[in-house]
Amino acid sequence: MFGNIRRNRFLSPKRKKSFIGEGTYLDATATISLKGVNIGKNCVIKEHAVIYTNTEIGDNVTIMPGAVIGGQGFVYIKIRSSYHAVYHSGNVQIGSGAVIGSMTCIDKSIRKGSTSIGENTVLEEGIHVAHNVSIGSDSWIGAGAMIAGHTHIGAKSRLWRNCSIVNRVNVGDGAEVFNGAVVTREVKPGDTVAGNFALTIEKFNSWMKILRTDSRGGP
Amino acid sequence: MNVSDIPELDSKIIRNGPFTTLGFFKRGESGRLICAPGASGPYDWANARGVAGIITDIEIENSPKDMAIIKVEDPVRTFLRVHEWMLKEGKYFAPFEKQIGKRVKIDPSAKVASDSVRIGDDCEIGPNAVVERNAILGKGVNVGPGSIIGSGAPFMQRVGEDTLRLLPGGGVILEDEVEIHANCSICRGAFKENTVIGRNTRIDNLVTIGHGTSIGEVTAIAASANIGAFVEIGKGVWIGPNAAVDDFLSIGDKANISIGAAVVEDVAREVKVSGNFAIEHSRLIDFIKKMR
Repeated sequence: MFGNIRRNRFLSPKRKKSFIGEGTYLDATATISLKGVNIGKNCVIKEHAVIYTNTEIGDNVTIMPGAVIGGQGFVYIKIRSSYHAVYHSGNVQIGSGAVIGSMTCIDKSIRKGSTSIGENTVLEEGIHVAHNVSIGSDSWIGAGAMIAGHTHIGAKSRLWRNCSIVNRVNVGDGAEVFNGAVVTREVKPGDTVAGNFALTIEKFNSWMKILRTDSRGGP
Repeated sequence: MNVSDIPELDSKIIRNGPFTTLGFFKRGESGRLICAPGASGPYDWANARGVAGIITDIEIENSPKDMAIIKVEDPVRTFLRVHEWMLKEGKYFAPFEKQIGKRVKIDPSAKVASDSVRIGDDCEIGPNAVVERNAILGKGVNVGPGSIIGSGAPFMQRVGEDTLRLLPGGGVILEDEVEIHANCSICRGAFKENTVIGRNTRIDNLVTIGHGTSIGEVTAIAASANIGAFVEIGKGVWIGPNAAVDDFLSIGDKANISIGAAVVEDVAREVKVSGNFAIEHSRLIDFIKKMR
């Protein structure tokens, strides 16, 4: 029943041995770091999921096939025209009852803080959650969404499919981001935004009206 | 090889000539035999670079004298048949022995093909990663969990009114210090050409790179970006998250494609583009400011 628990390269001697709670199903093809992973009770971890070190997972969490949790983030320093990777040593916290869809990637935080997914939040397939992102509880994030680094997504928000959020912005509680929207600024709580780059839904609709009726409309 | 070497085409050859691979009019390796049905024309034959031969159903005027010409009723199907013959005869690549360098870490759950793979020193291949045949990895290459190097997904291309769907025959070259994060997919070259990723290029999670695309040195491709087939990307380019690049485009050196951009036209060097469809960044910002 237990999958391949094995060392990964960023192993630190300080970290505790990985712990898996009661009633958790771990598929034989899943890969979990030998140290620093803490999985709660009654979780389901499916085929080919990969969980790296420094990950805390609550109770009743479902991790779908191919999800990668706690991977290295995309931060580089350019010295003499070549990129040097910034080593990420932070952690990932996943609240109880969350669902992580297949092929979704959640990077670990750089050093301080953590990448956190709130309780009962649902992440669909193929989502990228970058380093130091925090997603509130009871949110829903559609397939193919991309959330860049240090962004905060409020509770009960809805991010529709294939939307992108730039780094270091706040998306307020209960906000809604429509399909394919590119959010470059703060979204206030309860607001709805759409478009590339995103505008509030009223303004976006008025622009779409011009575009549909007037041939001179648009950029 | 010559066009006359292809079986069952003798009566259709108008002019014989040598060719090395197949390809398309817009971009590809030199010495390519292309599929040029009249429906997808007109073609600018004077500027056709590297085209060695044509499979067509129309009369070709002003074509350079050294081009081979095959005239058939159904060029798309003939092209597919020639491709299948090339694949079967092994004209695209010769298998070579598997070579794995020193200090290479391959996770036990990763799958590396049993032949025609070369992996340089200090490479690291993560859990569940797949390295397919005809892949060459330089020194210090890092392939993340679940990534696929040399994906054999079928190559689809609209030619005139038909759709070409063919199994790719090329390979993948990852130069030194390339880093690929989780769940990426790098497709192999469609014909003889390789998908090339230049030195020190960094690729984030969930990126897909199409058949025969070449990417220059020190380029960064952020998460979930999708790059089409036969794209030529210069050095020091930044491709933002969730961006999409169409097939057969060229992106100049140090260009900047911002988040969520849908690129459908060539991008010149040191230009920043944004939006869907992508236009110059400052123009889009001016427009968005008016709307706000």
